[in-house]
Amino acid sequence: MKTSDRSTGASIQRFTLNERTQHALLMGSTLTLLITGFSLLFHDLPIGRWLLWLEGGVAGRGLIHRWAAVVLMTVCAYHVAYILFTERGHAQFMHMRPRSQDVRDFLQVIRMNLGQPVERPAFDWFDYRQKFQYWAFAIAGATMVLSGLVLWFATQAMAVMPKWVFDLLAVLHGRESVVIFLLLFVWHLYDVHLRPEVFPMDWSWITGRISPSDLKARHRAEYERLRHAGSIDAVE
Amino acid sequence: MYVDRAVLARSRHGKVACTGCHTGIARLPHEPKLGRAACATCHQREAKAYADSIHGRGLAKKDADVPTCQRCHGEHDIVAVKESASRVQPLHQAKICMECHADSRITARHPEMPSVLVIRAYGDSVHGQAVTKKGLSVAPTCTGCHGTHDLKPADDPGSPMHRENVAETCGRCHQGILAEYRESIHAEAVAKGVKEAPTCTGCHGEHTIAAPSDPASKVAPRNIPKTCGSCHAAERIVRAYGLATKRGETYADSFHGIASKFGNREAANCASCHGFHDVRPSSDPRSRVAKANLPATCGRCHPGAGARFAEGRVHIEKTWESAPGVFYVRTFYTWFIGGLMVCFLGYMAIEVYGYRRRRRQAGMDRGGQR
Repeated sequence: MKTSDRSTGASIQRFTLNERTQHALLMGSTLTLLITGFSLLFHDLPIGRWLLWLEGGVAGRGLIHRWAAVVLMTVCAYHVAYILFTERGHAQFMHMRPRSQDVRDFLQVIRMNLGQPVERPAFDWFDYRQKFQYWAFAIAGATMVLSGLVLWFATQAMAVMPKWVFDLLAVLHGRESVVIFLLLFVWHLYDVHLRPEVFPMDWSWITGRISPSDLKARHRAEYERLRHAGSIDAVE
Repeated sequence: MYVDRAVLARSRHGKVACTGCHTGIARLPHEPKLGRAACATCHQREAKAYADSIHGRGLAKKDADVPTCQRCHGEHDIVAVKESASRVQPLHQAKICMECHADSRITARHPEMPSVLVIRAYGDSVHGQAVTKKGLSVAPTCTGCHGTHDLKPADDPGSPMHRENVAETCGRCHQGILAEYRESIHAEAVAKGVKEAPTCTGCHGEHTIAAPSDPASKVAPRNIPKTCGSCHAAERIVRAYGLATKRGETYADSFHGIASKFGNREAANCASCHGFHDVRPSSDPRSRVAKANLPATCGRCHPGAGARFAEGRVHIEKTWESAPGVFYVRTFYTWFIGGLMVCFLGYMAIEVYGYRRRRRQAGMDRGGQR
């Protein structure tokens, strides 16, 4: 049923090719950064030593890590420009802004799951889980980029910073990577794969589309808006 | 015994009369068995040194295994040491020593003799290779370090290889290094009689001595932490002399340590910052790691490093006292990561619980209608 209306032309575009490419590049670079970073973080364990060997030693590892960082920073810079200078990007970003409604939605979902007689909230284009994912990654990513740049350009930074700042940033860079790992591999993968509503996968990151019935189930507020505007037909 | 006059004529002693050495001959034809050649008549200094050597002392005890003058230098064919035909010419002198020291019959009779494996390692050492591969006659062979006629075991205070003499002995060739070493805390400690303080061989090894560029060397960049650590991470030594603790592990945990461990030869090791031959404690203003000298020392690799950079400790431990900033960051993340994990898993558990509950309810509703 879901499959059939996904294949019809009635589906709604959720992510453009541009946005999906941004996501793919972000995903590729972040995965590379995590792997090459963890091989250093866990250099004492056999897995870390094996990864380091695979990456061509500390020198090769550093090179891959820095190139992946360049890709990540480029995508992030492009993303900011995309928000600022394109209508579509700006509109998407406006949907992503946190609102107090998100907190109420969150509490309502908890209450609903615990068995209280409340309805599922009518989520907008982005729900609180997705907003949390976006903003948490943005903050963690900014932390990583800033601390990473200082460690990258250590010689230049040494002219102005005391050594304890480096020690602190090195530890911070390592620990924050674990936070990012949790954010992606526990939270994000749960959100887009394991959640009963989307299992085995929310396909929109590849197809870029969402069916009206899925839209109704997961983003009711947006669904209602589109239906009232006459953009889509009602689904049962 | 037949004496080839031609050989004798070519020898160093060609112009010496037979009786110059064979002093016991009173009439001709002489007795078939002659006494030992009287080398000491001319070579008094050498004879005196020999008498006090481990070999000479053995001879005095009538030990037939110890080498006499002839055993090393040859007999009627004797030539000057610097001539290539000489048995003890530096380029092949080691072979002469090995004739006895690698002879298992002799070593079996003398358990006090050093292990042949230890001696043989010399062949692969930078000194042995200099002799055999490069043909350097100035490179030390056995006698170069252990002495010649006055040769004594290294535990004899008169030996050039006794720990108090090692530096001076190596310094005969490595003069500049000796001058640097004399300035070091290690030399100071050796002079005070500290048994554990390293002299040259303590860090460089003995018969296995290799160039720092050789990855097997004890002073190859990658092996330096282990070599320094053999004393500076030895609890007994650290405690006995009040040395700074946890130097090795804090280094191993640092950028420099990790890079060095995984084969980066440029990464700083102990010696890069502390110096090596002239190593001194940071409390000494001449030390490279004295507070005032740190910017210059770090600056050798990191040209930007300024006075500000050198603030704070270099070897930081995982404690609040050692590095409060790092400690706070570490503690914060331990709790933050733990809390995040609890929140994520808790949220998932609640969602799955709600989902199953709704399914059960839907099933019950359907069952009720049926």
